[in-house]
Amino acid sequence: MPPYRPFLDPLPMESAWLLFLPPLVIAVALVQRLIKAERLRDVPKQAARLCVQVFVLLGAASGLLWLALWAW
Amino acid sequence: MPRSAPPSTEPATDQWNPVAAVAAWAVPGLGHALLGDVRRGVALGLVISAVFAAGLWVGGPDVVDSQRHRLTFLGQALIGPTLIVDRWADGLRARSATDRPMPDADPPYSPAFGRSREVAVLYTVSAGLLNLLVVLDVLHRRAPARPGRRKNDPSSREAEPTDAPRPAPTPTPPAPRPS
Repeated sequence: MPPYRPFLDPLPMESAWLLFLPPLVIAVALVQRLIKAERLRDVPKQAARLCVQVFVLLGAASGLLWLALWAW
Repeated sequence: MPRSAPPSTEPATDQWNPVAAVAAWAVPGLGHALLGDVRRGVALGLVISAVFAAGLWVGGPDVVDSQRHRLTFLGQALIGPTLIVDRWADGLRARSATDRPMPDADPPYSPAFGRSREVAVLYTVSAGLLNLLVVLDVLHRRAPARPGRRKNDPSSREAEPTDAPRPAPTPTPPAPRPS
């Protein structure tokens, strides 16, 4: 088996794909707050709050979908 | 009878910055830096470039393909360097088709399938859409106030940071006791 070459071969992932969700949420929250925040020193706190909100909403949506699937 | 000056009802004017917007598309964060907000631009550039690079790391160069996956490429091309990556991937694809003497020889790259491709496309397109937000913000953004302000400008005093140390209040002498 040839060795893995970064940026040339796809990263082998089977069940680890869900681990790539939190970094994306953090990046989206950071960019949104970097655009909207008046002062840069407020960005980390506001981005952390936005991350928590997104994770809570994602969890609620996935729970609702799981319940709908279970009921169906 | 002196009349006080009426409050200013003049609407704030937006600045139109097409050159900075093009710069923000070409290099994420450069638009803010050109408008004087260098630290914000550097932070935006680092975050968006990291998301895009993570997508390429997960999926490889085959994720960016302007010929076969045009709709995906539309989202990815919201970042300028995507065009360079597309040319590089086209070269790799051409080499893969012509330069392999044996079918089992090492290919110049490996195509991504399944979860790897999904995550890579999600990351690269998300980076493009985030850069679209940055470009739109730069297009109408006002340049930040310069640090050197005029002396008798009350509006510039309002922007003064309030967390600066204040001078200690002078103690007031105690009131004399009534005799």
